[in-house]
Amino acid sequence: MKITIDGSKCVGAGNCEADMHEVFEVQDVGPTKVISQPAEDQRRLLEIIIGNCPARAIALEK
Amino acid sequence: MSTTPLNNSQPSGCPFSSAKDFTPWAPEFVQNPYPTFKWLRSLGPIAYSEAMDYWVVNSHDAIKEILMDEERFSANLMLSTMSKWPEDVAQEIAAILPNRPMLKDLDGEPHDKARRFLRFAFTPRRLEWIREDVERIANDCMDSLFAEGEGSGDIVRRFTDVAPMRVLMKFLGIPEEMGTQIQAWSHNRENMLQGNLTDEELRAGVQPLKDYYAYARQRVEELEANPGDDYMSEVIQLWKEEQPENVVWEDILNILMSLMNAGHATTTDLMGNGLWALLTNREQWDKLVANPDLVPDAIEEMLRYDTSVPAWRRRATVDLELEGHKIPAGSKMFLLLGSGNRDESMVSHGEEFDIERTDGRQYVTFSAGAHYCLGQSLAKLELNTFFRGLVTRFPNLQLQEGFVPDYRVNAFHRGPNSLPVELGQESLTAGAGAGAEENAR
Repeated sequence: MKITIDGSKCVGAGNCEADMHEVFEVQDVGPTKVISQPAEDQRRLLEIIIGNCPARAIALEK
Repeated sequence: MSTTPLNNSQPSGCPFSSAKDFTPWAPEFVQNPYPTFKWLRSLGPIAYSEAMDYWVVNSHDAIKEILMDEERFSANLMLSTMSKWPEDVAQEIAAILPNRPMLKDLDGEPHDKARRFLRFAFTPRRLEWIREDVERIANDCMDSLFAEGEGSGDIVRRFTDVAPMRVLMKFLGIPEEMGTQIQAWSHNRENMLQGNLTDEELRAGVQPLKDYYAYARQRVEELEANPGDDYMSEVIQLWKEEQPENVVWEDILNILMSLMNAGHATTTDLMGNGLWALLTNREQWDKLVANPDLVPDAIEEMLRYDTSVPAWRRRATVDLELEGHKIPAGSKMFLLLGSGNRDESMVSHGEEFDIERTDGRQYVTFSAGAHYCLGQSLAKLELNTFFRGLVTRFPNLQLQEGFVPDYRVNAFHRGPNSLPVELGQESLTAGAGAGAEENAR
């Protein structure tokens, strides 16, 4: 399970960081960064976060 | 409220009998747009309104698709005013308004560039610098709420209309005593561009609009000459560094204008709508009183349930087909964000206000895609501070009995003009606490 962010879509809204700050970090400049990969048992929350992204920029690879 | 049955299955409270007649000006709609939204959704995701000459979009998915499709839809609706201006007004205004687009009207790379430039101060971590000011301002407002009224007061006039403006003045480096004036100017500007004014009302609005722009120009000059520790001063310095040869001052003016307009009424209205929802669904208020840690979840539900920006616009740039409709290039799209937020396909029992729901977070209150609200983290910081303060300090707060708010007439903004509240019995300041829970029933 690997989280990626499409830098060309990300608008830095910060909703992902608000829900999971140990994984996502909004940057002052440029797209949000994935600072650590989430644990397998967080899949359900991740799916919600992906659905909530206003730019559809987050993807989850198996 | 009228309950006259209509012959074509509209829910009560919907004043239209055909989608082609839809306008945002019908009094029943201004008062409560949600029955109309529901009825429109039952007819299909998109309908053409002849009365407006807009395609009216009501489903969550279609709205989000349009907002995210920068290839086929433009955000530029500069000077596409909701009421038609008489020629003399149009000419006078053309001489005042900068001829460069504001942030909300930019598309593509120029928009991305502007956003990248402006965004630094709006991340949740960067906003920590202003948290203490937000808390101080909220406390001031709560102190004043019942100062004169012997246990009753208008919370819009005393709090929700005041606090976001004071925070914004701090953020932008504008003297706080200018807040009331800027509020009046900003309302006038919104009404001119987005309201349903008569020619005479439009003419009366020209001079205040001139004064507003003149003040903004003057303030940019002052902040350039004497920078403070505020955001606008930093933006001006960065903008000069970025364009050492030829600073485009009209763009700076537009940035200040964008923030002065987007940064207070939206939050004021969210607070008012949220408070109305909480106090008319008393069991939800009581849940917050019992457990203030639910405040962040309650804010999310308020944002979904009754947004302060129930509609926004786009323009089609090419001929296209959407949900079975042929939409010609140049068509204007009226996106009912407030309908998308209650769309049955996204949220179950969306007409109910439930602060503990888990399926409400995909709201389009802050738009979607590249134009997603720049200030959403600041708005949430203010809302959280405000509601946490209210439920802990005034657990028995209640609306004046029988009160029904009225709303200003604007195509894109919605919020109550006033909300008279009462302290209720057993305030904490009266030494309650133990009694508060009993009386909350």
